[in-house]
Amino acid sequence: MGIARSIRRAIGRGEKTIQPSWVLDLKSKVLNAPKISSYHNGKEEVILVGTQEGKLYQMQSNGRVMWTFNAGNTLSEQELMFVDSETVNSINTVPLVAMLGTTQVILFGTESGSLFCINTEGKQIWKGTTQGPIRGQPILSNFKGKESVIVGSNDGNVYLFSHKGEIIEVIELESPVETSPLHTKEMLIVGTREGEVIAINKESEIAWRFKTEDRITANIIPAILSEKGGEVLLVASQDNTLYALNFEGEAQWTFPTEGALISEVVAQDINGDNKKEIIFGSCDNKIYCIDANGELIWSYETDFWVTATPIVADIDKDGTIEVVAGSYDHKVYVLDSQGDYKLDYIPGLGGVVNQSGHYSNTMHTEVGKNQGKLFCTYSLEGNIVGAALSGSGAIIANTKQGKVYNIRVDY
Amino acid sequence: MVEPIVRNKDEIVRIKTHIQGFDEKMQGGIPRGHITLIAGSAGTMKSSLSFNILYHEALLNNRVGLYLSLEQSYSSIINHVINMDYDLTKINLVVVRELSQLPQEVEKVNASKKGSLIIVDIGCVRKEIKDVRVDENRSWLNVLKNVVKKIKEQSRLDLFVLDSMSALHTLSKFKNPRIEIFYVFEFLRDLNITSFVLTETPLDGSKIGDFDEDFLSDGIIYIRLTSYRRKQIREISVLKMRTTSCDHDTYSLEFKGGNFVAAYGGQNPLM
Repeated sequence: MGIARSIRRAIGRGEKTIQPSWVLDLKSKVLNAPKISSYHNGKEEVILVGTQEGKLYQMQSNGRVMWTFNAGNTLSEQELMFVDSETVNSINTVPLVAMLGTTQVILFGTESGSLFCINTEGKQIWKGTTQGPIRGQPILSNFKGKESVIVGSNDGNVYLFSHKGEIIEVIELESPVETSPLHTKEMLIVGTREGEVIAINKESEIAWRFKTEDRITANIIPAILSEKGGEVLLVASQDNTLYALNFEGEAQWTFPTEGALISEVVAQDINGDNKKEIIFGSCDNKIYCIDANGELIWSYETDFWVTATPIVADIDKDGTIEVVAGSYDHKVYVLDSQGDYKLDYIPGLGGVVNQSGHYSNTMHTEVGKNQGKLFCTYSLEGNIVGAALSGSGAIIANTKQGKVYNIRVDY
Repeated sequence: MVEPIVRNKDEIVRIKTHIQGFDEKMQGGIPRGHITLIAGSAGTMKSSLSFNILYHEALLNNRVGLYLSLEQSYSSIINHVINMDYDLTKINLVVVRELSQLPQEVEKVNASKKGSLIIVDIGCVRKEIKDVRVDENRSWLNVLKNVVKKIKEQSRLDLFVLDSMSALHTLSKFKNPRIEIFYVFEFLRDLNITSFVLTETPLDGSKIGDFDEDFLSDGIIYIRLTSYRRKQIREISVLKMRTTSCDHDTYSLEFKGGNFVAAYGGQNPLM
């Protein structure tokens, strides 16, 4: 840590500020994070955002819409009566940009159960069909000896599609799949609406199940948390708990919060100690940073749910890592990834301390521990449902009300 | 749509129940836009009473009402009310037997100068769609919402009867009934239509609503059967009615001369 940085930390708030660059109104609800991708060997960066009305937008980094793909209506008039007309075409998955053979493609699922494969010009290449909503991102993986597109469906199955969109195999789980499949250690691992983590082996049999108490919508993340600790699966459940499982489906530790965990966690070494810390948001309004053993390092309380996955990166290129998190309270928070150390007990001060930026400016905390430290915050119009970091350091944030913001943290 | 705020109480529009001697006990009727539970055990005339409201509002006030039947077939309903001497030729009666025919049936509402009563027979629809792929958990709830919304959008809709909440629960296999019903009620409020939700109660009236619909609703009209010697007497009372000063007495409910009548409030009629 540089001297200037140390001085800034010592005097309290940093001088970081957030500047908006552009905002785009898609005029339809957005329920997920944007996908930022590079085409043509990194020469062109684009932003992909799917909407509740079933449109996928591709934008340039300056916010200009390049094309719109309409996932449209794939149901008959009669079938339409049986679905929620507002959400039937909704794109609830973050698109996957991948190479199918020599062609760069975009893959995404819809609430009506369709899996679309389109080219980077927004033209449909093929469409696959499942019998239930697709809510997790598809993956491209070599699970059965040949590369296939793998996606989970709310019809209770995992589907393997060929490069041409033909169904190769349907793996029946009898539990609606809500997450993106994770292919690791020759297993496919998914989370379900019934709160189960299910591991499938190469024979398409269920290797093990792990039951949480509520729905799992957050993608399951594999992480080597420390050299000694081995590799774990990080499972965020709507039962308010983060689980670290081994690869036999046994819980190694759990970290309880007081709200549902909606989105995937981030595992990253934020302080150079060769151990990964885990950063995530909860519907108890807090952003948490915990260590490799599931012990709290710091938390920061916003004014509403934190459902979006935080961005953990050196966003302002000052040599240290920041945590950027969007909240349902309409604000983007830029936090010091290492928190702020509070002194041990000082007679007369008790345990009530200030938390900079919090609405009441006071909160209860344990003295002698780190707490979240705010650098700066910026208000958007709407509940923040997802954010991603562009190659140029801009934060692209989506609001539920359908606005896409480009904001930049200046230092 | 948020319920409009009135400047004084005279601006509150009220929908009559058309039960003689009953509306005047609640400032003239049920406030427009309310969701009212009509609760009672089997045989208390919940369906007839709610049909009575839609019929008279169509006849006298040119309103459009939708009767969504999840249990009883349209022919059974129609024969039943004809037998009660309702003259259906005086209103525009529209029956929806197939969802695919909904736009054409709605056109009949638009084309008529009379008030309309639309009956949607979900039993017929169930037979029609047996091969349609649907998510069994939520689909019938979506049918309810889509039918109501389409009629509201393509024509006009003032009143809505759901017969019944108990059947909807059975058909839709709610995973979390309290939350699902909360959103159904929110949906109806957003459309700003006056709704009547029929709900079955145990014979002893020990509870009204299995899923907190009594808390969620704006009003509750409770009908019960009371045994007196060798007679069964229907009794009606208002248990709850928001934005209304009402008399909570129990009345005898009778159907005579083609009209519902509430009498003997606060008294025992047989003494």
